[in-house]
Amino acid sequence: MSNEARRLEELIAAERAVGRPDGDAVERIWPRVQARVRGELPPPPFTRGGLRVVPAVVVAVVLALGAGAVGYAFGVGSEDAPSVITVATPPEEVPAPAAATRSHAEERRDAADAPSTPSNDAVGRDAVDAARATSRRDGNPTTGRRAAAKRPAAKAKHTGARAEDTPSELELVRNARAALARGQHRDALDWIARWREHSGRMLDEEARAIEAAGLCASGRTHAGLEAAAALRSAHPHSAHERLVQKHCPAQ
Amino acid sequence: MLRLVSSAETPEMSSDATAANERLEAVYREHFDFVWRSVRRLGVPEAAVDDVTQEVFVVVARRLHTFEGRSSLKTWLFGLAMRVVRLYRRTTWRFERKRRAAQVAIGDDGHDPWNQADAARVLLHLLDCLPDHERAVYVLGELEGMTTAEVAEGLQINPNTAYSRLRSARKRMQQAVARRLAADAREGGA
Repeated sequence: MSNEARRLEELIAAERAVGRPDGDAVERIWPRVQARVRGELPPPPFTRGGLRVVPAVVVAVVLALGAGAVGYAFGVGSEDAPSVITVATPPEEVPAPAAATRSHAEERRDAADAPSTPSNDAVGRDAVDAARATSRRDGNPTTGRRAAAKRPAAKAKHTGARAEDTPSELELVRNARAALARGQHRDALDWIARWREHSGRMLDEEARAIEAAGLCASGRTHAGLEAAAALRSAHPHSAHERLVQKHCPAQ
Repeated sequence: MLRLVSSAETPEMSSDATAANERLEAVYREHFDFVWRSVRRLGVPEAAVDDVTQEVFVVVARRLHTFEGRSSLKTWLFGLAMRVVRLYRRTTWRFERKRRAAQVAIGDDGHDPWNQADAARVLLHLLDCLPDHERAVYVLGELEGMTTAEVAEGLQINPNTAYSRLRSARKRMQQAVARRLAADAREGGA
């Protein structure tokens, strides 16, 4: 047996010998237990709680997240605030620049006067037309329907009264990138076209790269190479150069 | 002695309450030492052991009718003690942290750690190096001398888990003793 093990045995033996309550502890504590059971004695301080740090922090975080989500969903506090309700609204729904100058009140009035969701119907028709074209090209009717279902224009769920809400710039670029990754180059270009309508345009570098890659990948090589050149002139050391090189042939 | 009985209290309820109280007292007198020891070994400082033990039996009074006998009464009591100790630690952790820091700073009150009187306290101090789940297994298996099967049944864990925790706890305790011996040797040399 090692020295440590022997010492440990000694400590355990000492604890077994010494570690016991004093002689009158049983009689001393029993009346207190009975009084506590009958409610005649207040509980000791440690059972009353106090500040539960971890639960308090968890509750605070949950409340903050909840408030943030509500504010985010309803665009509280800002006209340009992004809205989760319109994340998937199609590029075609974005009003033209001339129409965008109209007041929100006018747009709401127009939306309220409309018999149903006209913009959605129009979007749906566009999507179906595009899908039919795809179907004719492929010779497979189901391919066209699937393509229409996956196209951003066909994803519109909420229009009408909240048609003026637009997704954030980040969501547009993220959707474009996802479409490019799925091989849906036209969708990617649609999302980028919609991004161009956005007022912020902080993600210029990434959007340009996706556009160049999308153009090249969809067969419009010349336009893609021009977009790539524009990207390189605007952002000489772009981190998205590999994305462009992956889709565009070397010049 | 004259006892006041409320108008809502029927004689039948009174006899039930009396029976429950008698059962509680029997459990209390039989297992008081075990609960007191367990509370102490689970890391409650000496000054608070009586209060925490008292609260364990208050919980026992509320829960005794739910005890189904699937495990031994001893390990059931240990489970309740663990929960009350956890509550105690949660509400006094700030104070406890300072107390332990002070204890380290002054070197365990300057006692000779290997004397019989202080050895038990040293062991309790060493037990602090164990995580809670290993500490419970170690207290029951090593200090109370229960078998691994009894420990597993009482803590409602797999016997293999109980065994591996016990082995890990033993290893940690030996390492803690080795550190302690090394520290004592350094102090003795200096």
